[in-house]
Amino acid sequence: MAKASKPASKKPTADKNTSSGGADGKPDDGIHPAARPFLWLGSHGVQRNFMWFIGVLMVISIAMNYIKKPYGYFEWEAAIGGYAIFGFLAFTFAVLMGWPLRKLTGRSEDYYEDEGGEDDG
Amino acid sequence: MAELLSSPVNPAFALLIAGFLMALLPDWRQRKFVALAAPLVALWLWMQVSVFGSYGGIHIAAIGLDLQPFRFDGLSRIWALIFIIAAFINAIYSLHERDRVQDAMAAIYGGSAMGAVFAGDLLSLFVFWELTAITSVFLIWRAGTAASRKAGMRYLVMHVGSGVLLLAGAVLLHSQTGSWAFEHIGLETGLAGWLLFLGFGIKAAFPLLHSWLQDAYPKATISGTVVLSSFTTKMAVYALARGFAGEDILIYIGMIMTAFPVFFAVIENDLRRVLSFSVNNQLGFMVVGIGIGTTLGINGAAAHAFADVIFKGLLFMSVGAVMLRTGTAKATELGGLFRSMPFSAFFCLIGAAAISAFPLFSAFVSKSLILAAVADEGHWFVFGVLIFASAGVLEHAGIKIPYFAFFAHDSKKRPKEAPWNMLLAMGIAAFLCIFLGVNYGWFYSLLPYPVIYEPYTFVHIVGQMQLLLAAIFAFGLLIRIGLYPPEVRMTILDVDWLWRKPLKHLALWLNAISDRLFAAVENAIDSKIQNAGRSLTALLSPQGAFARIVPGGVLTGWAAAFLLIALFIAYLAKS
Repeated sequence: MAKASKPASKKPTADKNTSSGGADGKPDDGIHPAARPFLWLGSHGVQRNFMWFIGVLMVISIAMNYIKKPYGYFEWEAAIGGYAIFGFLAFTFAVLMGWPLRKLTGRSEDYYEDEGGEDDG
Repeated sequence: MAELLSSPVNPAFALLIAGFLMALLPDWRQRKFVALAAPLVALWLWMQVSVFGSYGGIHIAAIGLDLQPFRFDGLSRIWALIFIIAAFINAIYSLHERDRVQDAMAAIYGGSAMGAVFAGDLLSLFVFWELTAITSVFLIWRAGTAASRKAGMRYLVMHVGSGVLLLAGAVLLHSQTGSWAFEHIGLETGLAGWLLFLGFGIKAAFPLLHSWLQDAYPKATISGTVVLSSFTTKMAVYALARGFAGEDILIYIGMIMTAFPVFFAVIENDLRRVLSFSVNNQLGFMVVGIGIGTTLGINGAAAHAFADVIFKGLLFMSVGAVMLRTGTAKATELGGLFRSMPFSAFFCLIGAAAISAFPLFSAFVSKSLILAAVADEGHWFVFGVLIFASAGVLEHAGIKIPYFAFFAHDSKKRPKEAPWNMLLAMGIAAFLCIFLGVNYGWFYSLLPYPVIYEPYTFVHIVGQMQLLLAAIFAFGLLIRIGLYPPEVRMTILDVDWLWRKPLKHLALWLNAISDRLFAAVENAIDSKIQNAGRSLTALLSPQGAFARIVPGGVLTGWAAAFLLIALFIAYLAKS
């Protein structure tokens, strides 16, 4: 009696652009081995509190103005922490202007649909 | 003859010949070999020229034509070198692609840009200028989408138009001066100067003429965008440095160029479009340096163009790698990719640090030269805007690109790391970003004029770190308190809205109106002709009035009447 042929394997094939399964049989989480020591960078707590680390560095950089008094071409450059104040205000201004600018210039994604849309191309 | 053979050869030819050769080679391995070898040959040719001068000139006395296709001097030397480096890195980056058209066009495009940089006369410049437009558009079209086809057409119209302005200005200038030489032009030459200025300005993406950049670059192929970012705009900056150095208007044009993209980049969702705005922003710094026009300003512009080709290319490459693996460059769909693409993330961070001008990175040196040149001339307001723009660069290119692509929220996407060739190209660019920032003495030795400027002073380093750290702190704070505009899938309108919507509709409306008008006129004329035809038919046809049988007396009466009239006229004439 002829053996009934086995149905073709339904094992899903990995997308060629995504990580393949681990060789050790463990379930593959798609994490690159070189990234494993740095996974803490992705934790919510680290991302949320990273700014305080930067804040401390900023304070240190301002304190350095006391070691050597700043100077420059213009008056504000010679102020203690002058660049820090300028940087903070400039950045905040640029970002906050995004709100009204988006209201003014933002349109639906298919706004230019009549010409094929603004796809990723 | 012997003199001709021993004369230095224009390195641009290496890329141009390679491009035409690649167009004929069906085997991708052979094409890739040529693509890699051509920049190396160009570099070798570049190194063979030890004396500044103009080589291989063509003089046709009969028509007074003096072409100088290969001028090698301090200004063209550095631009040519960065184009060679870019061509080599780009060839590595696109090694995995199998597109003959792109391979060929990328090489010819790079060679044309180099040819334009070496052009010592305006006619040679025009030829290469147009060749860059015609070849580069294929890098957009090869993306194969409807949007890329339309964007490519808009790009082509702008760039060919730029060449037409260049040619018109060159012809006018020749009629005034009797020379085709491409030297300092200046706006004092009147209409000729303005036409050339505008022609250069289109390719340099001056404000209101800039939208082709944000329109086309994000729609090009992945490697095409990297290639595009290397050549066209930098070639235009070179042309401005050559022809319009010291024009005050450039200071203010450049200042606007540095500032306005900052606002748009904040709200843009497409990361390749964000980088396109960043191209505009960095060009602004170069244009300001040229407008200042001192040796420090020109050196700054040249140094920044050199550094920008590398760090901007690196950022485009990292976003391209993300796009290759995930299929998108939209910030809303990305995030957390450092888990599976750690090397791409690392190289992206280096590019981000370089463009933000962190100490030890290339832009720290190059941007400082421009800022010092601006301050030396006492332009306090312009200086302030450039510092603002420096904080803005950090926002969109320094933070936004790496943060939203590789960190931020986890998109749960776990794509493979980029192919080895992409990583290698990014690695070389990353190395150069640091090398130029550290070995700035070597960097200085490439600049057109001798440099006496020390970027690494205690006060300068501290000031720059304050600026950058405070800006990053502001970013963290704004994110935390929810004031940072979230990424949203939408279209952000730019100045091109004007011709993509109202002007387009106006043109369509005028077309429809003119169609109707012509149809109405045509109908009216037709009906008149038909009426006249009917009348004549009624009169002259076999069934017409003249053919009818009429009584003989009537005809005799008519004949007598005509005879009388003729006699009366003859009498009047006689008397």
